[in-house]
Amino acid sequence: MIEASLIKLETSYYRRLTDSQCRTLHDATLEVLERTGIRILDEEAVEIFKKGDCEIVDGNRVHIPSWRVEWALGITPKQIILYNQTGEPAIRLGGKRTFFGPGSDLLKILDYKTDEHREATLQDVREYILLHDALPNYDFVMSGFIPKDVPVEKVETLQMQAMLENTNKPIVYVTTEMRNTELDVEMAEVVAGGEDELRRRPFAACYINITHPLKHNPDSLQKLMYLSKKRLPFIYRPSIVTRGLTGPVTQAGFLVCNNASTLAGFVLAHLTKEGAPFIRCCCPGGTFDMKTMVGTHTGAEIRGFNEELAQYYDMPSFGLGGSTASKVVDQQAALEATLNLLTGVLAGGGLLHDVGYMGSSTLGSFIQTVVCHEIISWIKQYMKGLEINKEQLALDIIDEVGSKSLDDPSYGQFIDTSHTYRHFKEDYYPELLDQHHYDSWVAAGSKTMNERAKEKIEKILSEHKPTALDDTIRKKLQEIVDRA
Amino acid sequence: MDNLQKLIDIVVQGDGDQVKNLVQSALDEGKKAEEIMDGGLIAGMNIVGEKMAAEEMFIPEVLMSARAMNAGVEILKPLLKGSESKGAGTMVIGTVAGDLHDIGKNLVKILMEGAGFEVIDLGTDVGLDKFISAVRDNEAAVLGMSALLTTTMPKMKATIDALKEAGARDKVKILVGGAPVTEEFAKQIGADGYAPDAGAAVRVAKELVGR
Repeated sequence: MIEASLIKLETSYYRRLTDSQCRTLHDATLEVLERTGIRILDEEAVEIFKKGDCEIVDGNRVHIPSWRVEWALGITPKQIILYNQTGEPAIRLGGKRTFFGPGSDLLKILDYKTDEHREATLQDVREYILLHDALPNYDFVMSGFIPKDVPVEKVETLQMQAMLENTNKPIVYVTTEMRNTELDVEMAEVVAGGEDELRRRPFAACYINITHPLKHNPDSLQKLMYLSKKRLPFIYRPSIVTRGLTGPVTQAGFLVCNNASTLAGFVLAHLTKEGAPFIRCCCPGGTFDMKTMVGTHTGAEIRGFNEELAQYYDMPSFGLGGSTASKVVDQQAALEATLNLLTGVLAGGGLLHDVGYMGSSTLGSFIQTVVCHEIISWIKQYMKGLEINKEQLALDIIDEVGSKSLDDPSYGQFIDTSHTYRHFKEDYYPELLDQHHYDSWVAAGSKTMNERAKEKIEKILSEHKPTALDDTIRKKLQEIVDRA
Repeated sequence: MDNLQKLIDIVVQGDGDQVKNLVQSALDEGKKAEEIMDGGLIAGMNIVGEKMAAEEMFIPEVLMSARAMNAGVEILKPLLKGSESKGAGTMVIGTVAGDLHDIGKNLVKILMEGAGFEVIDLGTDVGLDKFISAVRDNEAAVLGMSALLTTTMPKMKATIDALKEAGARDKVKILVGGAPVTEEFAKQIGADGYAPDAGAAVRVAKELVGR
């Protein structure tokens, strides 16, 4: 008899689209690219498209033929490995694998000590990154806040410096102008040990935002071409395509507009350098509340659709999850974050960023970051699937316990068996979710989730030390910041 | 029959064809163009503005009303030339130099037009000189500046200072906005007003010009 030693159920994902819907969206996208085209506001980029057999109309409207898109899909990397800053593989991005991280450039911080909404400082940025370094469910970091106590032109290099000094994890960085991308890359190369070293084991990906899906701006195009030539990974966001504002309000139309914009950048990347490490941006950019005029990023409408398109194309993806429109850490904050984290993971979200974001991407809170960390633990447990083998089926233990005499006081008792001892820790023991009896909870101080979160934050910030950087490296980084 | 109340209601409902009919019949009845404009079209949009602020109307509905109102304005325009009612005034708007973001600015423009302002949209990446000449040439009552990047916000102060130097500051009300802009920042740089969103922008602009 052959017995399978282990049967483990493949983690189940949840699909909202069918393959034939994906195909239809793809065809519709190809039509937009051929028929309407995308305005490319950079001469070098237009030239590259032209050489790639794309038709240029009216100076800079690029019409991309379908075969060019299929060509690029054939050569694009299906998996991109992000290493940590000391060169070990950390994130194998591709398929349905999901990784978690915060966002960048928040305008305000909800101070965990005072509950005050205020501007953030460079110290807040450092602490935020340190917090993410300590929390195991966060796989990568982003800068978190715009520090208001530093010169405006140094913000982005200071953010990069903080990310290089306060964590060893992979980095996703954002810049406004082209120049800062070059400086940020220079800083990453210093830590990696050189240009070749960073290219071979990239630990930083640039998140490029453009201003309008049908009209790509010069800085974003230049960043895309620069990083493609350098073979450094990047995410090209086809604008904050907001349904009803910069894209159609209907879901399918939005997906097509978003996709056309993405694929335009995608084709340019491969025409610039074949095999460029392109990460597809799946950020919903969805719900624009037509009453409050706020783009919330939290709506249910298109959750998962973009991720499924990324998988249809077999491209690594970058998405959004764990965000809320709430301005305080309350039930709305917890439930919105949970809903979009769970749906993000079930869709196979790739790099899920903006975890812990509040106020519709304007506000950050250390408490919300820690709350989301807990939500992720629960979800990870849920995604494990059932393990079936001899030990797990426990037939012998069931028989042992059930075969005892009815007079035996331990009849039917499993709690003190060695089997229970061996396996009880396979359950998830939450750190921040309180599971005590009412009286025990009162005796321990009747603490709320917020209070427990604060204690956890204080402990981490006082005890956690990141991987130390060489002094020579520190000095070189500071030189670059001074030059900015 | 009081055409004007009906006209107000139809503007709120956003029916452009009916607006045209009612404007025409009001003119036929002998009502003056200015009265129809102020008492009918603008009065209707004022109600729309209130409903928007109370979150009873959605932006696409507001825009339908604005479009309906404009259909009426088109009929009245030739009759209003040289008269008192020039609508609410002229506004010059643009995103400051170095900044290409325009979603918010575009919303403000549409809503301001709906409120009866004539809007000169300079687009994005607008330099000081362009703002100043547009304000002067159009005798603008309001100048609106937008920025999304913290790095470009200083251009707002530069524009205000340049207007002072050119001796043109007192003739125009300056309104600033954009995600990183705050009330405090607006005060610091000497702007006349700040608004957190397009709806509020219209209210503040109207207050500033005394409507």
